[in-house]
Amino acid sequence: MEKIFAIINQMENDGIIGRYAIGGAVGSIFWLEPITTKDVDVFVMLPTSAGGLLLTLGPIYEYLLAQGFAPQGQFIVIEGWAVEFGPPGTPLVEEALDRAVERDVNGVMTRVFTAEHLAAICLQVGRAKDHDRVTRFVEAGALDAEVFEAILQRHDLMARWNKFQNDYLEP
Amino acid sequence: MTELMRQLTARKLERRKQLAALPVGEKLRMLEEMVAAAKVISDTRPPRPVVPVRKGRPRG
Repeated sequence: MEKIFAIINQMENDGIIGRYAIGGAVGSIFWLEPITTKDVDVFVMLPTSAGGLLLTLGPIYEYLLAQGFAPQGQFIVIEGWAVEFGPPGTPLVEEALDRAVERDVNGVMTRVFTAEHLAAICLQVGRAKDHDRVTRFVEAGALDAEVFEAILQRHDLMARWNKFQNDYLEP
Repeated sequence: MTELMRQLTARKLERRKQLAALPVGEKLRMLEEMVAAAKVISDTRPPRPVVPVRKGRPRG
């Protein structure tokens, strides 16, 4: 997977994408035990087009297809992994991308969402698998309580967090 | 929860913490192995149940 990070770093250096960070299950693996997943979620700031308004994933696809990588639905297959590029769709994800941290994976630097942002995103999305992941973050002791609650307060998620604790976390 | 289940849960949690503490490169390698192993298993195509449970309103 380091090769994927190297390719994305090159895309950033080449100006195809702006700042990027890994989220989703692969992002969570930086903080938790390995979680099985079929795809790699890459959140990217997209350079604006000449007109300055239109945000488009087109240049990403063109760049990667020109290098021989194959599309598969909304994914691009890189090194056998389905990689999905997407802009941050919510203020929370925007903040997660802004505050993502750098990590070294066997000599390749990459950027990943913090544990607190990943857990907050899971809480916000709220599917069964997201609830499971929040529990794992808590059980692993991966979350700084002060940082996490500040994020939840900024994004109006405290009520959801209180309910989650009542429903899923044993006292 | 019985004492036995409590012990089992505690052991699983401890194991997860040990795995979480591994270097990320090693964890990503484990993920790649898990995905490859899962593909081998899914390729065996298990038989389908005659009446599969579906999402929606309870039967009866």
